[in-house]
Amino acid sequence: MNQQIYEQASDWLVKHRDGGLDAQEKRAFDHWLRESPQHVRAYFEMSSVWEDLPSLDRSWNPSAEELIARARADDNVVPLSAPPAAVSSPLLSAHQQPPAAMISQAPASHSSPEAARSYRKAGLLSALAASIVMVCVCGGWLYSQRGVYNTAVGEQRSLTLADGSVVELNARTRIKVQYTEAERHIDLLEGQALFRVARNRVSPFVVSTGDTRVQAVGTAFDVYRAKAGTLVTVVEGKVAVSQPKSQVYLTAGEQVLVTPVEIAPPQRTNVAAATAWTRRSLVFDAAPLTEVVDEFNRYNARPLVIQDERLADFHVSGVFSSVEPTLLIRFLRRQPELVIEETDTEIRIKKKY
Amino acid sequence: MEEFQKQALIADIEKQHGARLRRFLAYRLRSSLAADVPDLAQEVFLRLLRIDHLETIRSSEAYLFTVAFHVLHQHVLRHAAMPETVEISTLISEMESAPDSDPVVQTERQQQLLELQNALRGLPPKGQAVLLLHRRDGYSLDEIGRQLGISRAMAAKYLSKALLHLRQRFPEKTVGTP
Repeated sequence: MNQQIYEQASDWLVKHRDGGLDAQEKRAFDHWLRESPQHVRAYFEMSSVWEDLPSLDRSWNPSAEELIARARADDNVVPLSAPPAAVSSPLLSAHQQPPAAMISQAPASHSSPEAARSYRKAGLLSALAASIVMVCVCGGWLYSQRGVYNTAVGEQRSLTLADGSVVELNARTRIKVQYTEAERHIDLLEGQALFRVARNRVSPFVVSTGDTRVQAVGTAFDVYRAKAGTLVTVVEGKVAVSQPKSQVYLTAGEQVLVTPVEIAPPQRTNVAAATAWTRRSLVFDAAPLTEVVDEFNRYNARPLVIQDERLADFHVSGVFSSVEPTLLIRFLRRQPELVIEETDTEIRIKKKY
Repeated sequence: MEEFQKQALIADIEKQHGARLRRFLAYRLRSSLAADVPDLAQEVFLRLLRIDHLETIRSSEAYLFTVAFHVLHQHVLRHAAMPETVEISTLISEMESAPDSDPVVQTERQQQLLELQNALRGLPPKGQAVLLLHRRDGYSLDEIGRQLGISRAMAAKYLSKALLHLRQRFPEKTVGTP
């Protein structure tokens, strides 16, 4: 699960344990909890850590004065994930044994204060060098992960970007946000997202899925990187969809499917149905069962599995809640030609005859 | 049950059993998130969505734990539905009195606490100080800020980061996510 979610959970936990929330914070917390089951889960996990602390048998129990003294002596901002070797404070390193490699080079006049000082200095330097390497390694990794946001199965979230544009991420989606002065660029690496773009004539807003670019100025549109290709639906305004060799313009209410081979002609579509996922519902209009299963599996840890090829031409119409998948299962159970078998790991769909 | 009655009940649970409930749940949640109840978080989440006016409930955190408790209770006792008026202290005693006599579970628990203890020792000095002074010695964040010469907001940040660091030392629970 996403590290960011744990950070949020931890911040909320600290707020609750120290003085509680004011009305506005409470609303924000309610909202946060109801955004995703992953948030609920992360809050439970962080809370478990908090509650476990008093049950520790303290073989090591520093006094408050000791803790305060050490914390005050440590004025470095320490990278959180660094191993203990790199986080030890300079104060402690100075008293540590010098590294083994240094001993062989130690001069004969070992006991002179000056040698001892240079000794400690060398120890300090190597500790410092180690932590710089650590920071660079972490930094490099963090840099490559910068601007990447993702959602897990069953999780949806909404992001507000630096320019005020809002991105709604559907389940199992990953985007990378790269804003420069020339362009507001978003890479849709996987899944589906709805973009509500803040108007800015200077810097165009571009969403790309591989070779396909979707460009807009002040509009709202949905991009779904599906198996068959990229599906673009325009909710408001205009967008340009382009590939290296071709380009089409879409207006509100139009949808286009872009495959690696071509851009299909734009078609009028039901925008409410295409963006129904943002209202936590799934709309199917005579959709093949395979498509229904793919959609359903974005929201559920226990996947649906079709176990009979003859079900390929079974079609489903209806509106289902994406957060209450039991309704869809109940619907499928009621179909006379289907048999549904539930196991701990999956839900199997078979043909009765 | 009427909405105001439900709220009164939750407020009451929070007041009388809040800390005890959270402590008990912490222990249960850790094992259930891993194995017993893979969809616990999902189930609690769905119940939260069914509440029309979550904002009118005084403490949504207390509510969260109460709901989790009900879900676990239903799971443990295999009850189809539990009357919401059941005295919660009876339930906690009931569930506490069914101890995990399983030596594997006991050993795992010991191991977890040992890892937590080690993780605590591995924390950077500021995180360690803020966490222990607050949780062990009961200092407020204001007081800690004064003692360490940092702002209250920074103290809160160190506390939050320290908790995150401790969680990372536990094996990632992957049940329920692909």
